[in-house]
Parts: sequence; C-alpha cells; structure tokens
Amino acid sequence: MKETVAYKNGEWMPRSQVTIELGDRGFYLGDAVFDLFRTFDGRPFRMKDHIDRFFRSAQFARLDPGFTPDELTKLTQECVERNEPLRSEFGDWSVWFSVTRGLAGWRTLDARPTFVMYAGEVPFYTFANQYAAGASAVITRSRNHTHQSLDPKVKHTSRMHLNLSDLEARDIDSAAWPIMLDMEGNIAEGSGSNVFVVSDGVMSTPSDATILRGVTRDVVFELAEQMGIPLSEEPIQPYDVYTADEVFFTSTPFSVLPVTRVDRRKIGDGRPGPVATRLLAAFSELAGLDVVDQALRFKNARSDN
Amino acid sequence: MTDIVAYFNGEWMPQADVRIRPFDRGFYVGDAVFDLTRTFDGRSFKMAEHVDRLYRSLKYARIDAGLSQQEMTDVSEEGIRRNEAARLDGVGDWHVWQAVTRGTGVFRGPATLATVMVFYLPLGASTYAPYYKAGAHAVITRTRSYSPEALDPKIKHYSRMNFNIAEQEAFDVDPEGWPLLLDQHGNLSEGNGYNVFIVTGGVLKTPKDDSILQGVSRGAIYELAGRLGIPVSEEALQPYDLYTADEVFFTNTPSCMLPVTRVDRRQIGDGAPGPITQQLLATWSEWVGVDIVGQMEALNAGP
Repeated sequence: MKETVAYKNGEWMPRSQVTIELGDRGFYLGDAVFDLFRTFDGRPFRMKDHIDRFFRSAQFARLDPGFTPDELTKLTQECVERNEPLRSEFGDWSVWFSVTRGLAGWRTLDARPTFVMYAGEVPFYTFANQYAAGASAVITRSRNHTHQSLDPKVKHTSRMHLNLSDLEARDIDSAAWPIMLDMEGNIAEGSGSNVFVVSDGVMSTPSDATILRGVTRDVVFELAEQMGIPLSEEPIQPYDVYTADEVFFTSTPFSVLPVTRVDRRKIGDGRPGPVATRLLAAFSELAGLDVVDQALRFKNARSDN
Repeated sequence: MTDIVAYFNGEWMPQADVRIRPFDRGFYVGDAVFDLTRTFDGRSFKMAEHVDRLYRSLKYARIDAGLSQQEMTDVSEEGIRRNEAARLDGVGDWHVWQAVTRGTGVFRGPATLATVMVFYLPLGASTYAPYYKAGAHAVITRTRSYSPEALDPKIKHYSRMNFNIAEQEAFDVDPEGWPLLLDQHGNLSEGNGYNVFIVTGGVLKTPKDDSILQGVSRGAIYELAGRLGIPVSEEALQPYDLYTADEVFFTNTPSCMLPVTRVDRRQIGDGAPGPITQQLLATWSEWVGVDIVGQMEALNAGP
C-alpha cells in the first residue's frame, strides 16, 4: 500500500515522516488529549461529536489545539479526502488526532502545542469474527481512575491503566477485552469501549460519572429510542453482567460488539442476542453499509493474500 | 556546545536526532516506563537503585526491554563516558534518563519490540537553584494521586496526565507553586516527581509507600538521617501536619532536596529553610563530594 498522508503542525507529509521529539510533553509526560472518528465507505461518521469532545478534553486539560472547531473539521475532512485514493477495498479509516503541550520542560507550560493527525486502517481483523461468535470479556483487577484523580471523561493519552487492564484480561482468557470497575466496584468501561447489558428487554449502561462518554454509546441511545427499547443509566455490578440476557460493547471501530463470555462464564445462551443484533442492523442502516459484512469481507480479503 | 549522544534501540546517535514515531505506544497510549539517575561530578549516584526500580516498573507493566539489568546499567554508564566532554563543556552534571516503551503497535494488535532509549539531560538548574535558600512554595491540589487499585504510583510511567493537571492547579493558586497531591483518603501522597517530608518536634515524617513512588532520594534521606541520629517515621500525614510542621522539604533526583517555606500560601515554620533541612543538605554534599546548592546556583548563573 502506498503511504498515507498525515499532518503535523501545519504541514501535510507522508505518514512515516511524522515524528515526535523526546522532549515533547505529549511523550514523556502523557500530556496530550486526542480523539478519533471512523469513516464508513469513506464517509466520516459523527465527526462533529468527536471534534466537540476533543475540544472539551482540551479545555479540561487546558491544551490549545490551535484551531477553531470549524477549522479542525475542515482539516479532518481534508485528511479523509487526501487519503481516499489509498483506501483499500472494503477498508475504512480511523482518523486519529491529538494535541500535546509541546516541546517543553517540566514545570513549563507555555510551549507551542504539537498537533498531529493521521489516518489508519480500521483494524477489522481484531474483531471481525466476534460479531457472529461473540466477544469475550474479563473484569480486570486494574480499575478506572476516579474523577478526583483524572476524570475518565477526558480522552487523554495517559492510558497505562488501560494498557495493563488489557493485559490482565488476556491472562484470564486469551482473546478477551477488559472491563474495568470503578472504585466502588461498579462496572465502569472497557479499554476504549462502553458496556451495555440487556435484561428482560431493558438495556442498561453505567452513568457517565465514571466513564468516557462514547459517541457510539450516544448513537445506541438514539437507536434504542427509535426502536422502542427501554434504556437506563445506572450503577451496574458484576452480578448484573453475569446474569444478563445480553452484554455488548460499543466503540468507534466496531460500533456494537456482542459479548458472550465474561470471566469465562457464558452470558445468556452463549450467542449474540437479539437486541445486539437489531442494534447492529439499525447502526448499519445509519452508517450506510453493513458493518458486520464489511469487517468480514475486509478480513477475508486480507487472509487470502 | 559539544554534541550529546543518546542510546536508541541498540545504537548511539546524536541525541538531537532521536525521534519517536507517533504510532509508538509510548506516545499514543502512555505505554512506557522510565527512570532517571543523576551524576555528581560525572559519577553516577545510586544507579543500581534506579535500575532496580526501572526493572520493577518494567516487570509490573510487562514490557521487555530486551536488555538485562546489567546491560542497561552498562549502557547508561557508557553514555556518561561518551558524553564526558559535553559535561565538562558547561553541563556540570547529568540527568541520565532511561525509558522503555512497549513499541510501535496497534491497539490489540500483535506484540512488537520495545523502544529502548537512554538519554542525557542537564539538571535543569533554573528549576531548582532559586529555592534552596528562598524555599519553594507548595500547593495541595484538587487533583489527587492515582489509586493503587487503578494504577500503582510505585510504577514510574509516562501516563502522567493527573500530574500535569495538578501542576496547572498549583500555578493557579501560587505562580511559584509546586503541586502536592493527596491520595484517595485525603492523606498526603507526593508531588509530580518528588516525595515530601515534614519535620515536627525533631522527627522526620513522610508518607508510607502505599500511594507514592518509592523515591531513591527519599531512601537517601533515610540513610543520612540514620547517620545524623534524626528519627524518621513513615506515617499517614494530613494537610494539618504540613501546615503545622516546623520544616517541610521535597526530595527528588536532580535537586536531592528542596526546602519548602510556603504551602497553600501559608508560611511554614519561620518562613526560612529549617536547620534539619540545612543539615541534611550539607551532609549530602559531603557524602557525594559536590556542593549541591553551590553547583546548582553556579549552573543557573551561567558561565
């Protein structure tokens, strides 16, 4: 594949030429916020929601992206357009963008921020098979940060606890995705995903006190309303997960992913449930392509090579 | 100035040329651990303790540096030798910085080789020199330390956004402020890269290591206090203890220790660095054969 075009501090360049200096606070102090959206058949999806959230993260961390939201919107659109000729068959982009506090020392906050944007292929191979088979999840020992330490609503790059949680999940079940608890022992979120459970036809998900408010989570709220599925935001304990009829994750790359195993225990009848399946169909309609079919086609095209 | 060389993935290169890929997990998901050692007159100080701690951080985070502890030590010492000319050319002493990231790799993608680097930085005299005599100002921030249940503060990692936010909160309250964070229970924990001690009734007190990084300089203070016969106690400390202390000081690797004379804009003790703080600093200077304060002030004044 030809190299994609990326952006750093005012310039477009081949992706391999984008580099970060050792002394960038985004690197050595995790002093950066980011966001990412994906395309469906090359069309950006809910870009405005991602950009709005990015600006809220930047505001909380007091980082200056150096753009207005409108300017950033144009830039992200340009990123999608410039890379469109390189989009592979069945492929789509995750467009990732980040602002760091820049090249500055410790106790120095007034540097020129570093802004980076690039388009990467949606990694369909990490989840394509799991739409039909169901994903596996593990509730990890590592918990989510409290909002008193670092509010999970901020999408920042200081994600070591999520990295460790991801490893812990795989210790227990080799392909599992992590689910973290908050400090009270309630379900918080996954590593880059939100969690929903369905019991007796009612969907519930943790309130946004201890999670990142996922854009896909909001889309599922909209779809649930359209479809007449009752939804409640409430504290959820591991008990509710183990005894649920269905469990699913929401996230930008995969939209909705049914979970059929948690802590090696079977959820419901061990197969993706009807609510998750209906939501995926409704999501596909909204996105303008069959998200499950696309992931499988992409994966199969790659494994033929 | 003479060029500084750094070790990067098995090679020595001009430090100014070292670059990180934005697709390195150390950058985009804070997936890296590090440590830093200082030199005194070009000799590393407590390198073994720092490398031990680095390897505990690596072990906890399950990152494989691909180098043994001895190899990491040898590389770090080799860089000190390679950069000796630069040191003598106005640097004074080094901050030897070792960092290891989980490497370039996509989320939940296949494991990749770690990115390993050792680089050499000046001590940052302007950050510390003004405060040995005037005393630093601390601010207890709204943002708290990570709970060990979320991410144990004993690991020295790059996911430091809570510290970055605390740093800003400290500056909001006092333009010279150094942040001090509380743990989830409201007890004192640490600063963003330094431990805190108080002196009350001739006793040195510092938080236990359940919610802090186990500072090597903190350990050095234990040694010095032992020699000087000053009792030390590790205990849960509240803001009350800080406000009512006779003396307060920070410890970290580049500064060794830094007197604190104000907390939350309140004066500590008589508002000047206290006698036990001064005694510890003087004894430390004797121990390493370098006038710690004098060197930092000279470096800050420039040639």
